[in-house]
Amino acid sequence: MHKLPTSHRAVAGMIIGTALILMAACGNQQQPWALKNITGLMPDLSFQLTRDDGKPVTAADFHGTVALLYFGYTHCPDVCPLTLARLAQALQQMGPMAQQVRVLFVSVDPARDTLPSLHRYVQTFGPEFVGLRGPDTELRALTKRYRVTYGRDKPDSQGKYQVSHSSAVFIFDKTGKVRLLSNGDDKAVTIAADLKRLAAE
Amino acid sequence: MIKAFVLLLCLVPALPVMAGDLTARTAWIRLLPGDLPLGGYFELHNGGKRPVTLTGASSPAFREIQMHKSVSRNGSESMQRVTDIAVSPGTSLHFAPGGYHLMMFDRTHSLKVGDEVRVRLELSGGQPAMTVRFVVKPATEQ
Repeated sequence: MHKLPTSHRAVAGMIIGTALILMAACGNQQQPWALKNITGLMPDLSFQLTRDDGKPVTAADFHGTVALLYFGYTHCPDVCPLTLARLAQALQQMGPMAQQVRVLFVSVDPARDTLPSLHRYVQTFGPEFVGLRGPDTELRALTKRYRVTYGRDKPDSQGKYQVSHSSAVFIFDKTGKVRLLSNGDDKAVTIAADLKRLAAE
Repeated sequence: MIKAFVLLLCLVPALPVMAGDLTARTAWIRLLPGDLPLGGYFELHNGGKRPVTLTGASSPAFREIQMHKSVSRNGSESMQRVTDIAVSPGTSLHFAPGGYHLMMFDRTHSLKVGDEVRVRLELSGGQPAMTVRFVVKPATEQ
């Protein structure tokens, strides 16, 4: 084998050494998230609502799980079930790790979403889905906290009405700190990958 | 033999339905519990030379069906009622989750996953109404 002159060997050694230091530094750095990282940009999870089984709950009841917060209503035939179906698929892809996740479906239509109907609705999507209901005062405070809006249309002659609501899914870590934001367009596989990382923290 | 063939046909709900120049396919309904309004989806292809307009839908399984479009504006989701949608020659109209959908109100009987529901699509532009079989799918269907 052809031997490198001593000076060349020193240079080669320096290059390898620098590369190793750089690799170590990158290894320490957080890998970017697939979903939008909103760490520190929104307040911690906080609410006082009634769970679909009738129990009063607060955010503290969900500490220790990765919590996903979504505002919707059961009389929504298209976007709400589409979002929940996508989250259900993401949870399915997580396998047993899904047990560490809760999807909090907060009704923005408490007049029609009674606790029993909310219970039946969320159970349709999976055991990790939780329905939450509260008075408008609490809803207003909670939506304001996460800078989203909702609004109810005037009822038609048959009393039917629609509700506008946010497409955002806010994702909190096991300590209730806000971490990620998913909108309606994220794929289940993308959501599953980030939820796995959060569940493993 | 004929009986077996008819039975076999009944077991293949995904067969496209053709009426003149129009073909409807992948028609399904997302099942939600109780008597919640349901979303209906399908694809309608206009293989003819004239534009056709979809003007509404009805079904013996629902007291009312409206056509709606989900609209996302500044992160806020809402639905707009639509009364007619034109389908140009050689194009397909997609009723798919997150966009156009049939909003199906007040079931006349209970539904379960796997059921088939007949839906009549009303058309204008010289086209007779078209009856399409929609398959009832679970809430978690993508």
